[in-house]
Amino acid sequence: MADEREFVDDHDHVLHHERDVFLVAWKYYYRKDRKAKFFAHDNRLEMVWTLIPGVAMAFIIVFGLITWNKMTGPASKDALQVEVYSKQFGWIVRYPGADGEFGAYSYNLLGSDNPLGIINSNVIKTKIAELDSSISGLQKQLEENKMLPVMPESYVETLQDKIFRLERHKQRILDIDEIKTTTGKSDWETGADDRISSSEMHLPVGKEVEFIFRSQDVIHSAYMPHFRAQMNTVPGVPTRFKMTPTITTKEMREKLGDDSFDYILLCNKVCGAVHFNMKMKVVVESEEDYAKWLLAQKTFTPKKKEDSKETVPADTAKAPTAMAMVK
Amino acid sequence: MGNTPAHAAHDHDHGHAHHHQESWVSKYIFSQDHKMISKQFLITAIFMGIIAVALSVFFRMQLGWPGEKFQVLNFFLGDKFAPDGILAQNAYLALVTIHGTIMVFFVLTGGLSGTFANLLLPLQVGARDMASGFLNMLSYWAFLISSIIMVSSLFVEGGAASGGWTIYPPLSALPQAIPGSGTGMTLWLVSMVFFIASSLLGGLNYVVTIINLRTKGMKMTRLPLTVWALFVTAILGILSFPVLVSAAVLLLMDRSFGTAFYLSDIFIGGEALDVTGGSPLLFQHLFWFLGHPEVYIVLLPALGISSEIISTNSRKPIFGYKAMVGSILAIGFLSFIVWGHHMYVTGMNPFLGSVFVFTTLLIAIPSAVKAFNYITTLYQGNIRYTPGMLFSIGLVSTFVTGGLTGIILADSALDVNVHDTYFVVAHFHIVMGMSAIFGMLAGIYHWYPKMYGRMMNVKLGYAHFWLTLVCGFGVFFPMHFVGMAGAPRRYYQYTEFPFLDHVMDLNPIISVFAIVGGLAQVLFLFNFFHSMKYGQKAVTNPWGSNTLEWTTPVEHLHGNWPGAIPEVHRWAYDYSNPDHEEDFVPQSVPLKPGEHGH
Repeated sequence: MADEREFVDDHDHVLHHERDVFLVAWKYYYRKDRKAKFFAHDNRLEMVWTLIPGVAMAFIIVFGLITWNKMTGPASKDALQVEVYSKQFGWIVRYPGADGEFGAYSYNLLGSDNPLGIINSNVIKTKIAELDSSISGLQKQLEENKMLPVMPESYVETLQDKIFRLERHKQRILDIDEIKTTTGKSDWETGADDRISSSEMHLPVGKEVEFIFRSQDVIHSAYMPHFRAQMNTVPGVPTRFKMTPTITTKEMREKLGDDSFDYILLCNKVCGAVHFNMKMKVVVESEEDYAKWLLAQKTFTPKKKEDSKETVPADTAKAPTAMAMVK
Repeated sequence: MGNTPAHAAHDHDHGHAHHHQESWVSKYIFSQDHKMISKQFLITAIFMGIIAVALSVFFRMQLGWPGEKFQVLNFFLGDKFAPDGILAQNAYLALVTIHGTIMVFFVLTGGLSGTFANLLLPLQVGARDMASGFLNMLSYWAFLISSIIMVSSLFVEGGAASGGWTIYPPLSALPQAIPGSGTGMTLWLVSMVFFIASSLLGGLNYVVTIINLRTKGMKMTRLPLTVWALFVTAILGILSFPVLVSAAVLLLMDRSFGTAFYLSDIFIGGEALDVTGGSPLLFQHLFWFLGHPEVYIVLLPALGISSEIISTNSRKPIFGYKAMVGSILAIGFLSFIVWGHHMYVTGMNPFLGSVFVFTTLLIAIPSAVKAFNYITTLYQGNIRYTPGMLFSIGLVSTFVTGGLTGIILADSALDVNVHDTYFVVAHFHIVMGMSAIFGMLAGIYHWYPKMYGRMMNVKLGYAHFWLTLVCGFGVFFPMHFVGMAGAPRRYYQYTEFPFLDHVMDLNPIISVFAIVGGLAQVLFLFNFFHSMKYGQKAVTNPWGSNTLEWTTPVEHLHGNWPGAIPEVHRWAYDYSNPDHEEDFVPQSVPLKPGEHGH
């Protein structure tokens, strides 16, 4: 009973204000026989409505920045690192393998067999060979043309330009440095066990994750509205964002009473024609389920048949090393 | 003493207006008269506005009813951009981009500053014309050329620029990324070069006129607030537009000369591009260094115009003149140090982000002071609800609404969730698409008698106001909820995301309001053009206003006053002054013996 009365009272309150607006508009309507109040300034009033907003802003600044510093501060040492790679018009996620480190990458090595441009000596050798064969093919065409000129001048220039660009590409690859990581391995080798998924991203619940964002072509933005997370992905400038998912997909489905609910990653910076449909399903699950899923994702370098029989520990609490592997 | 009109004014004055031999061409086409130039700006801006509104109606049709076939789309956009009556994906982005570009630059900068600075500055400071009529004329012609080029970019093969009005590279640098980044983007940049030239020429003229050509007695502290607002606006433009030029020059070089200012590590169109070392963030800093002052260049003239209209129509002085001037100066200064709030989620150093949180929330304070002062001006007034007055009060209301969401967006921690969503779209449309446009419309209704010597129809004005207000809120208020629910902006359609389904029920409603609101502007257009010939003839001072523009004859005179320019003895706000019988006292009226002027 009391609640209903409060509800009505609140609405009355609002309606009274609306009525007052019209009353005021009518009361001060222009009449020839009266003059307005000549009230030109009042410094005290100005002080009041400068200081009150000032104080309000101070509160917002202080509390806002405290939160901002927490959000953007360094991730904890044992946070899970996940690389999120964006391109026109999809996402690829990469997890560091058992060695806990990401392999180095270069945009010069991108190809359909290497969608993230991960570096190792084989990849470099293959790519250089590819470029060499393209270059020699084009050079052959030019040689033939020299002997029997049939090509128009502009086409010759196009071919020469292509060769120049391929040579430049080759040079950029040869210029790639090999770096020793903190564990002493080469960053050309740490990528071998990285796990990659282009369909879904899974995250273990309750564990801090630090996303590293990369972009292949234009600026995209990794937006995960349910986590209140967003960060632009910028070609040439890796960016980062950290968070801790606290509710699993299953729990969220129960909460919302919606069996088809899924967390989602979508693009939030205009990036081209299909900007409106650039998404990836995100799943938050128990550490156990997450570990299982991760082991089922393909590594960058497919292992030989014998090595692929990796065991999943029955009880993750008893086998901390398994989790350390997939860190 | 405190004021020294330039000697040049005395030299030219000779106590009477000039009588040039004017041909039709020199009077209407290549005019150097500020009043004619202001009308040229206005008419051009109105045409550009019609195009921009039409573009928005087209893409709102796609958003409201995705996949539905509309013959009208095919009629206007042709088979390439609306095949079978459905807007194409790339065309959608092109329309959104050009809509934003035209509205921000051509309508709200060219149409606001260009029109009202030109019309009012010489008149309100008491000058025969702008400091340089010739540069003023060039300023308009550069604006017209810029407009023509921008509109022509809609008709090129690959379509107009499509990276949003913010044209971030690499998307805007690489034609392989989206077709509009080819010729369309080049034309956009060329158009903007002319536009910026126009703004700079205009701005310089306005500043020089205000500083040098004030009439005797027109101390800076007696200037009407409209003049103060346009003065600071001009300074903002002069200091910030050149930075956009630099951003554009570097972009032109990245596009055409193989440089790498904004580009690095890009693989696109099957090719690893041979550019490394650049950063797209550089463009964003340069762009927003203009971009933020730009929105105050849009807003300040509207605020200045409303100060005049609210004061005149309340028959009360504007409350807190000094505080209002101080606020304009504070907003102007602060507007240069807040640009990073557009970049909180770009990967910029978070500490830098904190600095911008601080400065951006600071700018809320002078804005709040202005809002309170407007409301206090109305307090116990003797209020005339002319259409201009309604739009001015509407400006104050929408300024508060839009300003509050600005405070939310200023907080970087909160912005992370709503950046680039419809929440932002709601915010800037309410402050620009409602507040600033209301200021412009208020100015047109109020100064129409000065521009055309006739009155606009009041009933049509009322209908226009109420329809625009209701439809404006109908379009933009729901967008707050759409954005908070996580709906990104610049999306062609929202059918791909189940989590947005319930919010997307709002889309058709928003679109209906947009279409009705767009059509409602016909009331204004008809009123505007029809009243030029058939409106009630105006008297010299139809509003009983104090400012000097109302002391000139209704029929335009080159040189404004037939005799000597009036001397100024008081400020512009002696309305309902108890020491005077009339409820207004023009600035040129000498002080009564023993009266203390302002």
